Amino acid sequence: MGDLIYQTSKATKFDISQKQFESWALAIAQKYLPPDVSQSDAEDFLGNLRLEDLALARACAFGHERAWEQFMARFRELLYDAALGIAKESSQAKDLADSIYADLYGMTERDGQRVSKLSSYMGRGSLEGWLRTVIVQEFINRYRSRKRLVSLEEEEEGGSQFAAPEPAPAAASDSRVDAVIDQCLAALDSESRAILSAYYLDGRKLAEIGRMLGFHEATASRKLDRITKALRKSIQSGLVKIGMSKRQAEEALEMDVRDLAVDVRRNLAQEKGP
Amino acid sequence: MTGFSQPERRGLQRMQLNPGAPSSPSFDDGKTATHPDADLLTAFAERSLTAREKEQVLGHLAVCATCRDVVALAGSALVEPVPEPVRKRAIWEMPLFHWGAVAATTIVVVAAVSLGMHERRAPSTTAAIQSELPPAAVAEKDDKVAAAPAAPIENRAKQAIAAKGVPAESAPTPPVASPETTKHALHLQQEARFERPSGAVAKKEINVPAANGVVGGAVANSPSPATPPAQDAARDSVDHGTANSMMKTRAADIAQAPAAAPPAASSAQREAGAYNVRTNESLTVDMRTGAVTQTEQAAPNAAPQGAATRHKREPYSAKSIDQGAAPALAFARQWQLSKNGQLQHSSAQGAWNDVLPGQKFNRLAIVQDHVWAGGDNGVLYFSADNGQTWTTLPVRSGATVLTGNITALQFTDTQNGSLQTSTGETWRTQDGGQNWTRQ
Repeated sequence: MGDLIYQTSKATKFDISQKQFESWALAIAQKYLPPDVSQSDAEDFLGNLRLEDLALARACAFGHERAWEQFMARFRELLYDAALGIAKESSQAKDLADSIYADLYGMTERDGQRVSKLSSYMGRGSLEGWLRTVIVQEFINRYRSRKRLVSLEEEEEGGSQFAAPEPAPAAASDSRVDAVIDQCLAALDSESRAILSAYYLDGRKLAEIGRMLGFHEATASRKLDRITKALRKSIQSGLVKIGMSKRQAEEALEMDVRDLAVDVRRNLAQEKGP
Repeated sequence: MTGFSQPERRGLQRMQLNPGAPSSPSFDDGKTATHPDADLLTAFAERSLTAREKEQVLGHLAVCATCRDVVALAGSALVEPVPEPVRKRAIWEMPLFHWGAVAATTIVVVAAVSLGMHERRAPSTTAAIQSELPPAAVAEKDDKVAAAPAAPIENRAKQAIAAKGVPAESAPTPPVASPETTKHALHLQQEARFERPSGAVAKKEINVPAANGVVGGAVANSPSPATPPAQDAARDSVDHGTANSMMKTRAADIAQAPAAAPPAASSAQREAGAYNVRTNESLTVDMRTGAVTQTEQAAPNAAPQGAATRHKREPYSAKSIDQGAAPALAFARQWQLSKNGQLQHSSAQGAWNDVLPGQKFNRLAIVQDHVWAGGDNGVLYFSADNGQTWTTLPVRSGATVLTGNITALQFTDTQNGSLQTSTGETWRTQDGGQNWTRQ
């Protein structure tokens, strides 16, 4: 297996020894596999790694010149294009991509060793996809930190100094209702909860959700409809079990007019945001 | 946000990890074990996690808005925002489906009679078989992303009939084959699922060189240059009913028709690219099972023993095979894609050996000893020596890079080919895949 992995990775062209590559593969397997994994599962896991990409990334992390040439040829434009796709603005995209490149190249040193982000690539997904994910993470981190550092002038321009006081909170929710809702949500499978969160909390479109989770927009729509209906039914049934009448259960889940007003205001405030 | 009450929404919010705290750990600082690392998120987006891992990531995505943002943005980080392919609703989604089914059945019966009469008048229908449109991908019931839009049934049927030499108007839908040929009907092309690992993968198609090295009907290395290129089959999406009808029609034609020279390919059909595996005897290779239909003749390198179940075959007709078929088939039969997209090659001893382990592929194209294998995220591998050595071919045109997964791959000869992606892109090459242009 070790020979096969090594041959597939073509690590020889980057002067990586078989022993070194096998040690990386072993470390990756130890990181992701449970201790009681079977031999066949372990072999499947190793066989599914992106071995060539892994060899390239690790060679780049070590500063191998030929590896860097290949990396730049394959990914230089892709990095900038991906950054542009995320940032939507060329100067911001360039800044983002340059920052990532610096991290990938290993501009910093720790204990005399260059520290390259590429050494954290594990080969679970493609190197290209991993680079996109890293760019997105950096973009989100930057955006989050920038939001916390809004200047006073920006606050004034945004009108926050003259903002209306927050409205009085809606009537306290019934804790029994909340408990039933929490129980019913916990009983949903992970995918259903992810769809609900993405749609109702993040406000994502069905097409986006489908792309995230790997199905078509129409499928996302049907799933959402099915999940929402099933959840409503199970909540109502749970409320009846704790002693509410059917009518009371329905009323407990109806949208309060006051909540509606608050929700609209909150949504409008969110739309004004960057 | 309709359909969800405030109490329910508050429940969802209570479910979330604390997203806004300034001290939220960054992703790779080693301080947190709660967020999946970039590798896991990437593997999730590329559908290459194990079921257990996928469940864990989904469970985290359900409660972490930040990671949801990452997955959503990473998936949309494209050079040009590619609109989702316009996909017309599948037939069973249309409100008039039932009425349409009744009407279609009636028309099919009428067309079958008409075609049957036509076939009896025109015995050399091998060319018609060659030019017959392929059964395009059968749309999945749960609406996986399709690589190509579905044309109306009537248009597809008209094309199929026109390819057989019958005026389109006379037979708007394909005829139905006889019951006994239904069992031995040709393999229909089905679109690979967008979502690959979790569900059963549809049959994968392979472009097999035709009798004279032609893939999908077009002549590649024809031993007789005077032979006109066979008509490529245009790719399209069809519903089950039409696809089955076309399948039965083709089977019936094959059973009846003697050998004939393939007709000239129309540019429109060649443009669309061959989808079904075709030889002069309308051979199709089922890349899931390794089955080669429509011939009983053993190729020099016959498919290995112990290969998956093969389809039953019609009796082999010596007249229907060109001289070049056997070697071309020999190359084709050496390759297959396993259930999980692993490229495999058959050894002389008959075993299937994994090639390029760790790489997953969706499509395979073979012209003689040239092999192209396309997978997710634009991965394209190529061998010019029947798999002894491999190179990766980047599919790009200047700053434009192929996006999405390769869902169709066709080569008419060793130089000219095209591919389609899950994002609706079509790319063409005229030099075996070294350089590509986006259509």
